[in-house]
Amino acid sequence: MKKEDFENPEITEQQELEKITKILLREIKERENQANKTELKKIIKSRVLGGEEDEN
Amino acid sequence: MKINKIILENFRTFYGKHTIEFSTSDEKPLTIFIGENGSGKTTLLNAIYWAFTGGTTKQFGESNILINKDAIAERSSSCSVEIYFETDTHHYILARRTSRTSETNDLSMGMIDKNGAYTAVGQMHIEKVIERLIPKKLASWYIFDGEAIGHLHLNGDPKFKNDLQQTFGFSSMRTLSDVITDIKRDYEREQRKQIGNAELDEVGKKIESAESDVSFYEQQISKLQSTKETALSEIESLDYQLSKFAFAGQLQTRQANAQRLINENKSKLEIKTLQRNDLVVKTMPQLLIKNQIEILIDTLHEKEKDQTLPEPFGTRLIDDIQKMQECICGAPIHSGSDAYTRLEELRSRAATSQHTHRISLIRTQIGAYVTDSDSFDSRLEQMNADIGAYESAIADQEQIIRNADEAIRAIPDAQIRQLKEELTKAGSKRDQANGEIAVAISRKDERKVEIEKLRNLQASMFASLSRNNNLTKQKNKFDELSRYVDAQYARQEAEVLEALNQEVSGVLYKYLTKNFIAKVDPSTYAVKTFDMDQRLVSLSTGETNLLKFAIIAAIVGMAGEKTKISKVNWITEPIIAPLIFDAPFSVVDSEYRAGIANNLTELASQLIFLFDSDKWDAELSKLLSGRVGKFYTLVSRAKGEQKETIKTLRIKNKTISLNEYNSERDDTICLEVKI
Repeated sequence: MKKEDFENPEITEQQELEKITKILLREIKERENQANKTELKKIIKSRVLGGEEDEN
Repeated sequence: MKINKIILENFRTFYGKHTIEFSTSDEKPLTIFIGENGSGKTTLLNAIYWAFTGGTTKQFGESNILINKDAIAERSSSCSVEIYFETDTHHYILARRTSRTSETNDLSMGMIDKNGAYTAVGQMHIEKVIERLIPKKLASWYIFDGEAIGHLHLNGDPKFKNDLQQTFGFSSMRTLSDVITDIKRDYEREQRKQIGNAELDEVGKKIESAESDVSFYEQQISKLQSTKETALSEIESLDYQLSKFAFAGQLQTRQANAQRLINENKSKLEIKTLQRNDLVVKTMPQLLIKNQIEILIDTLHEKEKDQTLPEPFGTRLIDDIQKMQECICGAPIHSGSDAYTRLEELRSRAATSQHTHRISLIRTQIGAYVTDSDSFDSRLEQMNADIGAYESAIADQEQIIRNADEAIRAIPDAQIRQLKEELTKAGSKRDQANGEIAVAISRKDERKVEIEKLRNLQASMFASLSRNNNLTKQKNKFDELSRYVDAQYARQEAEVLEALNQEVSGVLYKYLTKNFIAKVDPSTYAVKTFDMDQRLVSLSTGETNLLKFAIIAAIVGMAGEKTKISKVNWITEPIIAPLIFDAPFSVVDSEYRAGIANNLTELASQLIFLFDSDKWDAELSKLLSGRVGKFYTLVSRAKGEQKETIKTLRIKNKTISLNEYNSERDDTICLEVKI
């Protein structure tokens, strides 16, 4: 990563999004023909929010 | 994914344990098996298919009997297939076993990471891991009989689109996008509930209603597009059927050409016949005279020899002198005198000279007249040959006219009328679908604009009314993720379709004599071909098969990042699996075989070809030689005495038998040929 990349919060944010998207896609792919939408919603929420969800 | 090794035990024709290693080299990705009919090629392919999916291909007969018959007789009640394979990150061992008593298969799997650590995959997760690596639904894209290429429909078949989307991971992206949208809605409802503002609630309901409308229009558009594709397929099929009758015009042109040639040949025939008649008329009297004179001369010669020459010349005078006993000069000539004797001698000489003189005169007189007759025979022969050729050409052309007449009479007018009516109907169906699609798109867009406005309004209301910052923060995360996923989906789909267009067009450009390009319709994934003037063109069956193989090669090439023309920046994980073909070129025109083989070996990460020994030839051997990493023969063994000729294969100056008799049992063995 270039020096200026560290200074550019947008790139880090994009990378974060890419990382979480890849994880979510893998979760979905493994469950493509098995899990229903409610289950997927639960899994995705938990992956995206991590511990935050409990606060609600 | 690449398959390193397979171990079969008592699987159909493979009695006992058989270990077969596959080539995994990038330079030589090809493993070849050659065997005669019934030697176990389809069994081997199905062993791999079964291990991954638990099912078998359509071509595999008696698929419920998997255990080797001899093994059953020897009280072994199970069979198994173990597959050793690798991905970029792990090595895997997958084993599937079935027994006579069990209705299900036992499945086990282990993973070995980069550091060599082995982990058994839990029973609950095995199917998930396999599904991620090679989904059951897509297995037939990678492991199939060459003839199955015919079942691949490129005219907008929804199955083709769905399979392709799953292969490239778009279906996962779509699911992710849908689930995130649902989560966002839940948040909005929750927020509205917490705020308890009627106006905000109203806006939220309006958004939900508008989104429901958008979803309805999207479904409607999808259905209409399917209707349109069906109409387009019908049009294509009807056009094709009508094109078979379009040859009436060609037949008429052929008839006109034949008639023109008949006329030309007839006038040549007429001229030549006149010339021949003229020759005969002119030469026949000469020939007759010549003939008669020859007869006359012969007669004269005969008579001359017999001394029976006609009167009156020499002999009459001699008779008179002898009778008068006085010469014309007045001198007396008495009988018995010397003069009398000399007269007698003169008699014969006088007559001969006269006749010789007369013959000579006749020869001189007829000489010039009969000269032309000397070349008569050869000239007549040539003229007759010319006349024969003209008559034969006329007969041929007349036959062409008669055949064309017959073909024209056979064209069913009623059928053509019916096809044209159906074509008009299909055209109307297409136009109607187009119109309705345009209306639905316009309504959907209107609703989207409305949603955008309502969302802006909702956002500002949320900003002023929100009491739960945490809820807003969480929803914002999903808003951001939603925008990112949708943008990535659009980008990646556009990149994939563009790459597919370029790769497939590259193959068509390289291997077809015509300059055609392929384009994938972004909404239906129908693959269409165009000429350089952007006109839609139809391909022959052979060309279509080349196109289908090019699509398969491009798909595996893109997924494995082996394409040269274009690359895709993947956010999804596309399926990377070996291509395993039984009878790979069975439906391929020989002229495209080299092109397809080159294309596949360049783009596939791993290729396993199973050839019938009758189809393996020197050209294929030469074509694939540089890319073959492993080479095997499948030898059929039979218990009894030799019934048929032993089939052999000649490789690298070695002759290898493909079948054996007097064996311990009926089975198959796999022998590696070092290359």
